[in-house]
Amino acid sequence: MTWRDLALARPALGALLPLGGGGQGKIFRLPEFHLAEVPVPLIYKEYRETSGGVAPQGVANVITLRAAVAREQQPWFDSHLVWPLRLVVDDLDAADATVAGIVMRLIPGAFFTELRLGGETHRVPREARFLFLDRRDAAQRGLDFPDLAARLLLCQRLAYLIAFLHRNDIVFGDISSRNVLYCLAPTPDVLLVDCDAVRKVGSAPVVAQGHAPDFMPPNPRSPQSITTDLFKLGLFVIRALSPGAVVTADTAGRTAAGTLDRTGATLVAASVGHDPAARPSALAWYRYFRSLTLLSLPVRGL
Amino acid sequence: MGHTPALVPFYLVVDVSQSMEGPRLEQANQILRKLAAALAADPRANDKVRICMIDFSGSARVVLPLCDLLNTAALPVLRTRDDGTRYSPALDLLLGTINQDTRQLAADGFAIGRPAAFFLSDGEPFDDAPNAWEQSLARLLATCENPPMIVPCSIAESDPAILRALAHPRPGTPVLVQGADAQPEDAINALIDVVIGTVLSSADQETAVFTQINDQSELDTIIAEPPEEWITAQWEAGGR
Repeated sequence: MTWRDLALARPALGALLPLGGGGQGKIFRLPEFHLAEVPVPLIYKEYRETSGGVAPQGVANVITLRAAVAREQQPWFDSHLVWPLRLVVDDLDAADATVAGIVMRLIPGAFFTELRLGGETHRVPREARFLFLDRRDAAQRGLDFPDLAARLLLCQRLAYLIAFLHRNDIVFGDISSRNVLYCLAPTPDVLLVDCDAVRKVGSAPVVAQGHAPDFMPPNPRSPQSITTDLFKLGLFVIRALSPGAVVTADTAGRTAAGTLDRTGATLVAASVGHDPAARPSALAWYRYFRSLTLLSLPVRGL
Repeated sequence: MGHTPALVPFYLVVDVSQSMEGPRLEQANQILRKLAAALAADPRANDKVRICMIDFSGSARVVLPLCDLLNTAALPVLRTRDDGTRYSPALDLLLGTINQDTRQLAADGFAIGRPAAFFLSDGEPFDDAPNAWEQSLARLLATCENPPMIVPCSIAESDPAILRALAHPRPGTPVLVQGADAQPEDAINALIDVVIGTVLSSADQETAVFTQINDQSELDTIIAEPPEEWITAQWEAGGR
């Protein structure tokens, strides 16, 4: 499949309703543009500058990774991963067309929250960074403070998602406090956003992206890979289960030893260690969380 | 004697407590109608499945005994009852009904596939005695002559955590939960498509097969808890 099969010129999107800007560009709601295979409201994410550095075929390859997922898995896939669905180029007929942006699904309402800041309330995506706040800070910002059972389920869900991607040879890359969203009702769940930066194992990244400063692996120059995903997953888990604590790669093992049961602490220590080969798989994390019951809570002090 | 194709029995267990009154019940009453229309269009599938409906509130009853839906003179109309919400009577009746149907179909010379039960509720089992529904579930799974797959469907005020506990077998069985922004009646409508898709594709497999959730407008209405097989390595999945 060539990129032209998945590309659109901007006028084909119809009306663009601004939804605000972000670090990576502008976001527009697309009230007139629909895709039969993903029957949910769509958005257009316009890259900050027309990005001559992004190869259209590279973006198209990421889009087609979704199509390679088994058909019965796609509804679940689409409700847990904000994946690029079409690419938008400046000139559809030009041989050297540049990528202007991508079409993705709208983030479902359940993954938004009201945030109180300086006397004003804003509706914002419920980012994982809110999960890392202690009870008082969360209350000051008008945010929920999920209980332990919800946090364990969120970690389980994230482990499942990462395991799913790895099972399909996909590196998520930028697991961070901004790219993992969560909801608490009707049941705790997670959603990964900014999936345009994913990478197929054995392929070069399409969109150059470094590690988020607060999820920097021991070797900051190491490219994003399965093992850096696993480092970040381990760090995410211990942060989510020790809200309010300042947890870095250096302190994660110690925090885990004082917080989790022995199995959990061992998994965290191996995840954040310097030996990438020793990091437990996302599947191992998933099975750990699955094995827990409310009668054998592994966490103290939450 | 030639090979007898297996019949797959489906049990639709539907909450008719007072809170279902109105649009929710109207949609619930569409389940059998739409399923009958789908089976009428696919006689080959219809030959291989049988449908039963049980309703429950504080009590439970079989409103449509296991049957070939297209040979049913009139489809029952569900009505709400004002005697509370209990899961225990529904699970007990499901156990007795499956055992009875299994013996009946066997006596009639049919091979019987694994039954599947969709358990739809919009409320918590407030009126069950402590531990009652848990014991009923354990009894159903331990003593049923042909233990069913149980697919819980959680809408409105029901507790997804309680309904998740009903899912059987685990892992592998989807749990259908209404999305946060969806209306209960829309969730039931989306569920109908899941039921129809499952019934039609199960006719080929002699057991319940959960196809993709194929509603075109309510993707987020239903979250299926995915199975572990999706994330295990191929060699591991194949070795089990």
